[in-house]
Amino acid sequence: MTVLLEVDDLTVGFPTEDGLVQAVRGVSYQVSRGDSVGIVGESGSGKSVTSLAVMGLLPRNARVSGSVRFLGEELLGRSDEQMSKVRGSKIAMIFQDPLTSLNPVYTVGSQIAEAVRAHKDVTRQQAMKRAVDLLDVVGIPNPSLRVNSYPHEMSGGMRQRVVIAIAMANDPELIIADEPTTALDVTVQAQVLEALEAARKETGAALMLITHDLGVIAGHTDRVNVMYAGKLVETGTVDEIFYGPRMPYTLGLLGSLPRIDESGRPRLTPITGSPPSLLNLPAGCPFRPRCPKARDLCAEVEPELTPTADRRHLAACHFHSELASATAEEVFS
Amino acid sequence: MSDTAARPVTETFAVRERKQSELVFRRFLRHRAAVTSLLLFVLVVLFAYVGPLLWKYSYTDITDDLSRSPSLTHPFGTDLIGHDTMAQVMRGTQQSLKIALAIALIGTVLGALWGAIAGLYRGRLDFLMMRIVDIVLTLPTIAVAAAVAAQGVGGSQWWSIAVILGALTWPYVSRVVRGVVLSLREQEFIEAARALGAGNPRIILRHLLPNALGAIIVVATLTIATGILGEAALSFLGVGVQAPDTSLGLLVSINRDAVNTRPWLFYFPGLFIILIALTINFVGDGLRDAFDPKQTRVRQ
Amino acid sequence: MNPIISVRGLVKHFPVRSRGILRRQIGDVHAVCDVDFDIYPHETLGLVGESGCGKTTTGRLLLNLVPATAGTINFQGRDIVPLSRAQMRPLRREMQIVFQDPYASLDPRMTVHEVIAEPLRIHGLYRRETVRDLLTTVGLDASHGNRYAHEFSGGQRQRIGVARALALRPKVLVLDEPVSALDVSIQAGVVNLLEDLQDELGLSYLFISHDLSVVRHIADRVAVMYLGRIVEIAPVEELFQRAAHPYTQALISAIPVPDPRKERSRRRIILAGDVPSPVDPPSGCRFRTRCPKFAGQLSEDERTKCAEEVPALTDHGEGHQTACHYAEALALI
Repeated sequence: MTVLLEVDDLTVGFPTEDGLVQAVRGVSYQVSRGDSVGIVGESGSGKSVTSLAVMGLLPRNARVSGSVRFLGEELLGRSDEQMSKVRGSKIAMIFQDPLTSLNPVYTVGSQIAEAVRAHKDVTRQQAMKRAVDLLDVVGIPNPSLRVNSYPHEMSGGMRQRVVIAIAMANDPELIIADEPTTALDVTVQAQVLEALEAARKETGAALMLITHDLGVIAGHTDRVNVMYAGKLVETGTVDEIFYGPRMPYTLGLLGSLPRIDESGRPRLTPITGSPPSLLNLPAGCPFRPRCPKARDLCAEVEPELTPTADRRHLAACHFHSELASATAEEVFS
Repeated sequence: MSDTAARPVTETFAVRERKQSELVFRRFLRHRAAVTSLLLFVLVVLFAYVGPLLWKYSYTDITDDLSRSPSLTHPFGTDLIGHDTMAQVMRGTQQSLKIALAIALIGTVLGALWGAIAGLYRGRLDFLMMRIVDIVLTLPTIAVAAAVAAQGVGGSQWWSIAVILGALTWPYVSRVVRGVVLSLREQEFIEAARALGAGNPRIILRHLLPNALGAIIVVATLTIATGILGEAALSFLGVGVQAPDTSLGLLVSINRDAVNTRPWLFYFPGLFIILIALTINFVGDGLRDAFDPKQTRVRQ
Repeated sequence: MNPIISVRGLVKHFPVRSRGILRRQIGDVHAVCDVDFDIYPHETLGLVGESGCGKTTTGRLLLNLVPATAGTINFQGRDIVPLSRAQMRPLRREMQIVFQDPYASLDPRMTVHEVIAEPLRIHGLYRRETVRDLLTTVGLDASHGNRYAHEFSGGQRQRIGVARALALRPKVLVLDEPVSALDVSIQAGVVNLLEDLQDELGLSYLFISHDLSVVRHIADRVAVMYLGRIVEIAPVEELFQRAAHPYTQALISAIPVPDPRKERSRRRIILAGDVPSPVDPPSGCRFRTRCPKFAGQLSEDERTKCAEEVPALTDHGEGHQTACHYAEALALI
């Protein structure tokens, strides 16, 4: 399989008056053609900063190092102009707020048509017809009427589907969706996720899905990267992560979720404490203060991602072997 | 009691957050003009209030030196009957500052309450109250103040000038405070207070005004500058502070004929008026920037 | 057992005014329409629905924080709808509310001690010890009282909000999305706390949420709202296993489950279109414009009934009431 995106030792810091906020600390991962990769983490875990770094959308004062290669070409350090050629053509992006990616003064139809014409040598009429088709694919009712709407005339869910339609028109290799459904209601979320699946099927693009919602990750990705305190702490297939997590944080996260598919009232097992400050992180494992399994070693040495039972299932825990077949209740209460 | 409820949660804070006051202070320090102005203003205040304790002449003293230009014995010179101008400027600054502060106090308290009530109640009351504000705003302040003061209300005491000018400056404050309150009243903590059974007085005094404090401090500062100029204008017109007491405005007024012959008599008090008005305006600017959360964030 | 609160025929219309100085009333937002429900002692009634369905307004109405347009709210043998603010004050001791946003709901100018003391002071019950006890009850350190709310994390702030609501020893708590703003690992701790407090203090909860997973976990009975009306109300197991209203079915099917295998095999009911405007709701059944049953299964005559006749909540046994002419139980999980 061709490797599309290769992120290597990506580090992002933001200087503040109190010192450097280490938002991302040495993150490496790959996305291959056709992959569907989820990045999951709570607020402040660095999951969004990672994707912003990939797309070259970090604020100017950010300090970035490491390497981000797309089809072998280095993206870090490129000028805005060079980046915008990649963005939107080879890499499409979908953000939480679709209004940021839509131009308020043009109809959605002309915005989709413009994307179509950027890649194919077709007439305006043909491009408009394609726009109607694309709106139909993403599940917008009455697409032939809706092409003439302006973004503000549409609901949040519809706008998000228009963004997906534009992404499809560009025929991208990779779609990066950063919390694409967080602001939306569940039934609308279902519509948008369906549209996203349709877009993938039609274009064959790989998907990088960034979200805090483990349910969305479970249904729409093949591989999962779990982030905590700016680092990848576990990576594996979706089944490995959900059925056999080897990092206490992942286990705790799953244990603290109330489940719609469980009757009775099993007590939730919360993780005590809150994530560490990304300023002056103490030595050792960042999860140590909240980890019931922590020992002396954890306070001294920060664990690296190491292979567990499977070569491609990695966990950043010194004692990950002890977590094989452990449950959240056993560990956290 | 079960374990989660009983066990104190000792969480480490995710990102160190600062108190708002600390943030404001830091942002203020970054505003160089404001900090310099504050220092200058403090010097002026010291000059006016500590100066007379150290200086050998009092503003009522009549020396034997008549109409002297500035020298070591009389740094600001003397006037026709032998008053030491520096002692007079000290006293004048004292009086002017006192009046300006009183104007700011009256204007701010009245304006803040007025604005908070209008903003909280909304509807007809708000409409009525704000039209009154509009009317007062259209009055030519100095003309009206001069007319009222000329009636001899309060016997030309320093506080009567403060009351008159204070009664004309509060509309500015009330407009600002109303604007802040309109956005604050929609916040959940106000609704929470209502749900607890808090009445309107409590909501205004315990929640709205403390949260509008930043805006209030800023307008209050700017009101002091307006006050200094207002007092100067009234005294200049002869309806402000009366001799034998003195103020900066009065000094400028008495000595305006001497501007060519004995310029020190006119320019020193004039300089102090400008100095106070300017420094306070800069401090006000600095405070406004410091309280404005839309300013460059210190932390993320 | 007698209900502690009985709501009958509750209606709330917000006027829509024209722009300009005249501000004539040009319509009404039908936020809450003819809503009936009971809350029993020591019970949690979950109130779920998507944004704009009127669930938050219903919570505010229950506390008389916004005046009802019509209907009765019977609390301890007394209708509270006509009561003035002063007449409501003694009743505030019996009914309290916890808000969604743990940042906006605490006055930033007050120390935590002052925040929790406020209800006690208003009702003349203030004792320093009471505040300290409340802090310990919600799992915070009693010595934290002299700090400001912003020095605490989201989860801790929400505990402060709970302590404030408990200060007057109420019988009923309205919980308006109390955990929606929190990260999952923190959320579980607050959910557990709410469950413990209910057991200990015998509280009744109205738990308002858009998150059906949390509601399934915490509620005894669940009411589902759509566009201002309750469309289904049932004991929690009954609702999640035999949802009978097409909207409830779509809602449940749209919730992603954090279980990859289940997620892959689930049947999803995707609704078409968006929620209609509450200014001009559809005639008859308000859900018919998006109803998959209406669109796909019903005959012309049956549809006429949906468009003309407002479906009433009818009991199907076991306290399971559905407002659909063609209700049919369906297992979706």
